[in-house]
Amino acid sequence: MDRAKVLDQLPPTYAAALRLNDAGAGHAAIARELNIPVEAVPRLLEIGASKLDALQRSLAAQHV
Amino acid sequence: MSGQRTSHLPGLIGRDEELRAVRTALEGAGCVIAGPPGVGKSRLADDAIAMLAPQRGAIRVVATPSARTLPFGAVSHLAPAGGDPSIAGIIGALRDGHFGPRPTVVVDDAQWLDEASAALVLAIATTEVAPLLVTLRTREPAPSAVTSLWRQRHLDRVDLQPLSEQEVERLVDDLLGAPSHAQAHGWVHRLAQGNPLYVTELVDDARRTGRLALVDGRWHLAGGDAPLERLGDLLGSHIRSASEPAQAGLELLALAAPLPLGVVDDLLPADVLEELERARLATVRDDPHQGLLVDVAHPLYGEVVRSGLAETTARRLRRDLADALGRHGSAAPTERLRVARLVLEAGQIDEARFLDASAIALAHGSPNLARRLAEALPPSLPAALARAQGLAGSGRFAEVDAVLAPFEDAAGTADVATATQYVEVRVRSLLAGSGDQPERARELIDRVERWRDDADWRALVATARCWVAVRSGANSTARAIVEPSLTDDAVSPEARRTLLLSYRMALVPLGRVDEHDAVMAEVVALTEQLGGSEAERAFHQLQLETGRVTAGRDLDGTRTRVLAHLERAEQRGEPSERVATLYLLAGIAHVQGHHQGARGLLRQTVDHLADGDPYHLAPHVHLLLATTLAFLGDERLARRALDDADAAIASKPGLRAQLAAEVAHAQAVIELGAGHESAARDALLEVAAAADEDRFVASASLHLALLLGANAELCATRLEALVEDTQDDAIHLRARHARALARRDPEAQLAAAEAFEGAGLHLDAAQAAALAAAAWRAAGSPREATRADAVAARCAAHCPGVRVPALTVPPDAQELTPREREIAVLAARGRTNPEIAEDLTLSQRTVETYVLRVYRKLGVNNRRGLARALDPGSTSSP
Repeated sequence: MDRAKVLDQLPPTYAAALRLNDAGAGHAAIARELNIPVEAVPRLLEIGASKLDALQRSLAAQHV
Repeated sequence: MSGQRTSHLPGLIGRDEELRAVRTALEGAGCVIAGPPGVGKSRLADDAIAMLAPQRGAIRVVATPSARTLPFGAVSHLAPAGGDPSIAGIIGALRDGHFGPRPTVVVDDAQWLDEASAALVLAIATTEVAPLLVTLRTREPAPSAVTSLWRQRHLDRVDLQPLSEQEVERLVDDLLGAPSHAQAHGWVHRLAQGNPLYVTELVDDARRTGRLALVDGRWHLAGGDAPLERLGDLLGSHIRSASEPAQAGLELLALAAPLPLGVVDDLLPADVLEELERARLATVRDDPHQGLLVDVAHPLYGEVVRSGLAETTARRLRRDLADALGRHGSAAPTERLRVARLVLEAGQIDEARFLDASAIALAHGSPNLARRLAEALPPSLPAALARAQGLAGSGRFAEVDAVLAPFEDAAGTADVATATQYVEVRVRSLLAGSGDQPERARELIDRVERWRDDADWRALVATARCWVAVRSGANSTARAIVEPSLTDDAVSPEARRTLLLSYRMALVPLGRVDEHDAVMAEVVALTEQLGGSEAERAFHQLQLETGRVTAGRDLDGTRTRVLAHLERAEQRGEPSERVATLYLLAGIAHVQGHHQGARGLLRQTVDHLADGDPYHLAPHVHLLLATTLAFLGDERLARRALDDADAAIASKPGLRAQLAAEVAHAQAVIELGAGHESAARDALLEVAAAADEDRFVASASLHLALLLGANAELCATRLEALVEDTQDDAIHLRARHARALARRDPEAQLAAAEAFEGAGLHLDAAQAAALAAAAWRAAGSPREATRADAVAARCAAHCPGVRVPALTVPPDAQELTPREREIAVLAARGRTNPEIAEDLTLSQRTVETYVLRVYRKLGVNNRRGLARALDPGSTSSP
């Protein structure tokens, strides 16, 4: 399923962080944009990516 | 959501990924879990700690506002026995194992730690004497020692986010103990904004007050505005902490937010809005289309305040809001509708405003609001029409005629637009009814025919008569009625479009696909010429695709175009379009035999019916689901779907005659799904015989009966008759396959199978190839049989879970006669001999004889061996 559409289904902060990361933004830029401490960005991206992966698997299973 | 639950405490939903991250952090120095109140920080910490027990203990520090003024107030319980708390003393105790071997130190609400306790926590992190798990509320000031925990990179920081909509759905279902309808969990998600605490309290309140109701094992949004007491308690102190003027301002916002800043400035002093913003009860945001808007900071504030408002206060406030919005004079339809609604709810009447807003409400998919606005007005033809359209839009067709009949004379002398609208609404509503209503529709058309004599009026009368014919299933008659008006050049574009849209209803079941394509292309062009919206043009394009789907034409291309339509509809924010597009996608999957995919799509479609069903697709959706489930062998759910279809038809009983063939077809396929092959075959032949005017259903029924062993010559002859005067590709392919079977020509049968495959009709292809293989095998041609088996397998791979005899009974069991196969399948499914005898209206002795014969032919001794030999339904699990 289209990654952009699946991202839309994540909570907005995860979606925004992943999109910025996909676009090549660094952690500092992501932190500024999302108004969070830069130290929170790594775990945010890690958890967001895991949720995206889980959601893609779930949506794929629904369409079987 | 994620693959496996990693928590062993019940109810932690939507946090598997966060739990993994916290556990990983606790293998090192630990982490800070940050987030707003209610997002689940403490619960996540508890779960992480519980998973570490009993290998590792934990000691807890709970900071509170009251203890923050006392040095070491939060950690005094950690002081060595008889001693005063000190950083060195507590660090030493941890190092010496006084609290057990390397326990995790859990600090809850670290933002409230006193400075000394915060310094201790930082010392634990810098000395690494124990892992730390710290929870912290964001947007509240915290001691600098606490912020140093992540700034100096001693600990990871995990910022807990709100739950996604899917996670909220899971949590709601878990709290309610049963599945919830999309509208219900969508409502909860919208109000609670993904905050688990708010979700929990809102669900509890809503269940208790009846706003959520359990119907047929599923929770639905029942509506109502009973006060939400638990949420009121949770949020009330924050709301009541504002001044009285600010609370009054919040009441205004609760009733009508978001509001333009100019309107709010008109209603509230500037300092009140400032106070609301500072207290985070209201926000001001810049909307790209509407400019600066003032909104409640959280939807729940609006919900709590609104549910606690006295009725007289609410009416007064609505009057004030309507006046202020009216003074600001926005011409946007949504604003005009909002003002009209406020005036209505304030108990006032404004005829021109209400009629205007009623039309807007209908266009925006709010027929109930349209009706309410019209019902508030004194009786008149315009008010009656608006009310009737609202009733029709809500599916309350039986009430429409009583509303419109008293105004028939007035409509006869009204302007042509009003007269046309009157005829369309009244005829459609009568045709949706049952009993004598279709006949009354004919009588009405005979009367209105005399109102005018011009090309457009004649076209309108032809359109209405076409509807009558289609509703009774007389599609050929409908076509003949419309054709004279189609050649009348004097008909205006608008009248011609309405005529064409009625004409297409007859063309699809008659298999006139090329003609349907041309008609719909003209409708799309006329809609553009008449200034129709993008949504209108897109929907007509979708109607064009429907014809191609039923004909099995360009299915992959159609799917691509329909998916693009779905994407554009979602971008336009039109959830009601989802039903039509999902249904069409399911139809494509169904025609191809991809029934598992069709089932998933149809379940989504059923869920979205509550968002709006402006095209009244519900009966068709449930019927298609019934047939799909039957092909997957799920008789119980298929019958339930058929019951749902019946209930949907009951709300619009005029459809019963129009859908009679589809209903009968679904019933016959359910018999097949139950393993009653011969009953299914006979029923399908009856459906085909009665469905002269619906070639799609007739050909599908005939072909399926043929695959179940019906007389091939009979089926071929009847399918070839259906091919005449039709442009339907699928009917042509079915007739070709039937003729190949009648000729007992396996080479021609395999060629027909490959033609089915080329058209994307994989289930038909698989069955046709399997029969060709059986024929070759019986003729002693194993090599050709293998070739056909390969085609069958390739096509069957597209249709996992489908349970039809040609695919579920293994090749070496094909030597069974149709009756033997039918009894074998029922026996393998666990039916006893007496049950089979009752199912097939045979004597028990006859059934016993058949069963023994089957055992002998398949080389088995009992039912377990029979089940293994047949392995019914195991192309893959459903």
